[in-house]
Amino acid sequence: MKVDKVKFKYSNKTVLNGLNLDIEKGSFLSILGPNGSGKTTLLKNMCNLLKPYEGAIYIDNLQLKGIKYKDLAKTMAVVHQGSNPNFEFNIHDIVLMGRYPHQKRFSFDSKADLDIVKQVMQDTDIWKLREKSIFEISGGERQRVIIARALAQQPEILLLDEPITFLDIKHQISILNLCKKLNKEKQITIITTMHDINLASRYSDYILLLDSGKVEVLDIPEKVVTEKNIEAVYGIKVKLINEEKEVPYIIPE
Amino acid sequence: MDRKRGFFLKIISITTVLFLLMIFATTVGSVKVLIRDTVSIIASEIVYIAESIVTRDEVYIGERVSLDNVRKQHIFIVKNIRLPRIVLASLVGAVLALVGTSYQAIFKNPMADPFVMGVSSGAAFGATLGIVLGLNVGVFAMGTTAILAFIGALLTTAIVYNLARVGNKISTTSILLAGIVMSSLLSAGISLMMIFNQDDLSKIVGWTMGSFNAANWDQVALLLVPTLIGLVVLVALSREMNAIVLGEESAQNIGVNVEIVKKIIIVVASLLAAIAVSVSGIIGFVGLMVPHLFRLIVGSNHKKLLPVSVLGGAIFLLICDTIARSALEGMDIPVGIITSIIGGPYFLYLLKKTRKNKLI
Repeated sequence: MKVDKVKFKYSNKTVLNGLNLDIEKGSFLSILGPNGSGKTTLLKNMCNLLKPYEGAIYIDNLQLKGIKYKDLAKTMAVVHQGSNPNFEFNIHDIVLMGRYPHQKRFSFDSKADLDIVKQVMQDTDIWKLREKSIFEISGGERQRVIIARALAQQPEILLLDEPITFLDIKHQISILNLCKKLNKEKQITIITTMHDINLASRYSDYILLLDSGKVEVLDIPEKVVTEKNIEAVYGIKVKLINEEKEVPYIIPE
Repeated sequence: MDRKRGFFLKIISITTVLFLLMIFATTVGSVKVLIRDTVSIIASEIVYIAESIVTRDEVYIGERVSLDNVRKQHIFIVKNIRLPRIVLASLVGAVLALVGTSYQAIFKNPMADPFVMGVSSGAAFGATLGIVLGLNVGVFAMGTTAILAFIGALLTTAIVYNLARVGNKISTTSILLAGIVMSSLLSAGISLMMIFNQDDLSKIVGWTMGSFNAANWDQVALLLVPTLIGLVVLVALSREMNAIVLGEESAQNIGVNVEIVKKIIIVVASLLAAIAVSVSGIIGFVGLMVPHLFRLIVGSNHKKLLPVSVLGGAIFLLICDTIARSALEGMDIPVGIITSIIGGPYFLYLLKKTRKNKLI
C-alpha cells in the first residue's frame, strides 16, 4: 500500500498534511501519535471512508477511489473503534456478514461461506460463543467478533482503529497476539492505530509516529521509540529502559 | 442447514395461520356466515379465476363448486364487502410493518416508524384539503381524498428528504428532525382548516384515525403490485440492512454502498407508506410495534425479520380490523384505536418479559 502526498481537511482544519508512506506487504505497522495527530483520519483515508483532497492512495498500484466497494472489501478489512449496537444479532450472523463481498444478491449462504466462518471463528477463539447474542458478551469478546467478521472477508490487509484502547491488560495482549498470529501465519498486513507505545514496540515490525498530520518518523521500533522522539511528539520526558529485552520500553519520568 | 429449514417451516406455518384467519374473519360481522359457506364461496371464486385465466373464456360461478345452498345475500357480503376489506387490511398491515422494519434499519433507530418522514401528516393534510374543498373526482380506485392524501404524503417525504440531504449524503438525524418539524407545520395547517370548516370535523377526524370501511377490490389491486415489488426489493437488501444497522462505516468496509442502499430503501419504503396511508388513513402502532415484537422473538437479522414482520403485520392488522368492525353492533370503530389498545399492553408485557439484560 502506498500513500502519496495525501492531504486531508475537515472544512478548514487541515488534518493530514502531505503524507507519504510505503507499506510493505505482510508487515505489522503501528500508527502512534497524540490525540488529534490524525491517526484515525489517516486510517479512514486508507480504507476509502474519507477521500484525500490532494494526493492519492494506491493498493497494488490501483488508486483506492477507483476500486469498487465490494472489490476493496475482498482485499481490505477494517476493525473500527468499538461501538455499542442498538440491535440484537447473534455472533454467528455477525461474522457471516463478513462474507458479503463474496456473495451474490439473492444467493443463500453457501457451504463454503459457512466453512470459512467456522474457520475464522475457531481462529479467533469465539466458536463456542456462536449462538450467543452480541449483548451477552464482554468487550474483549466483542472485539474478537469484529475481527472474525473482518477475517471472513479473507483480506490481505487488516486495518484496526485502536483495537485495544478499551480493554483490560489480558484482553489487550490476547488481541495483539491474535493480530501477530494472523500476520505471521496468514501473511495478513496489519495496520493499526494505538496509544500504548510499549505494546506497539513489542508487536510491530514498524512504527509510524504521527505529529500534526505529518510523519515524524517511520522505522523499526528501536529507531522510533527514543527519548528524543517521544519528547518531540508528545511533549513529555520519558526514560528508556532497555535492559536485557531487545524491544524498547519507556516510562514517563 | 437445519436452522434454515426450521425457519422456512415457521414462515409456511405463519402464512397458513394468516390464511385461516382470513377465512375465519369472513364469517364474523353483523351477518353471521357459516365457515362452510365462505369456504365454498372462496373456492368457487378461485376456480372461476383459474379457469378464466386458462381458457380465457367466461366460466360461470358454480360450475365446479356448487353455491346452490348458500344465500345470495351471503355471497354478496363475503365476496364484495368482507373479503376485499380483509385482504386490504392484511396488505396494509404487511406494508406498514415492512416499511417500519426498513426505516428502523437504515435510521439505526428503534423509534422510527413508517411516519417518521412525515408521510402521515402529509397525507392527512392532503386528505383534509380534499374533504374541506368537497372535491369529488375519482380516478381509478381512488377518490379525491385518497389522491390528495397520496400527493401530500409524497410531497412531504420529498421535502424532508431534500432538507436532510447534504451533497450526496443523507443525514439520519436531519431526516428525523426535518420529519418532526414538517409534521408539526402540517398539523398546524390541518388544525387551521378544521377550525374554519367545523362541519367537516368528524369526517376529518375519522380519516385521521384510519379505517377500512370503504374497502373494495380496486384498492386491493392498487396496493398489491407495489407491495409485492417493494417486498422483493427490500428483502433483497436485507444483508445490506444488517450491515448498516451495525454501523455505516463498517458496512461500507465490508463492501456495502451505503449511500445508494439508503436512497433505494427510503424511496421504495416512502412510496409504499404513501400508498398505504392514502387507502387506509393513519394507522399507528403497526409499523412501530410489529418489527419490535418480532425483533424480540427472532432477533435483528433482517433475512428473518423482514418476512416475519410482513406476515405478522398482516395478521395483527387483520385481527384489529375484524374487532373494529364487529365489536360494536352497527358501528365501525376506527382501526387505529384498536391497534393501540391491543398492541400497547401486549408490547409492554413483552418488553418487560424479554428485556432483562438487553437494550431493545
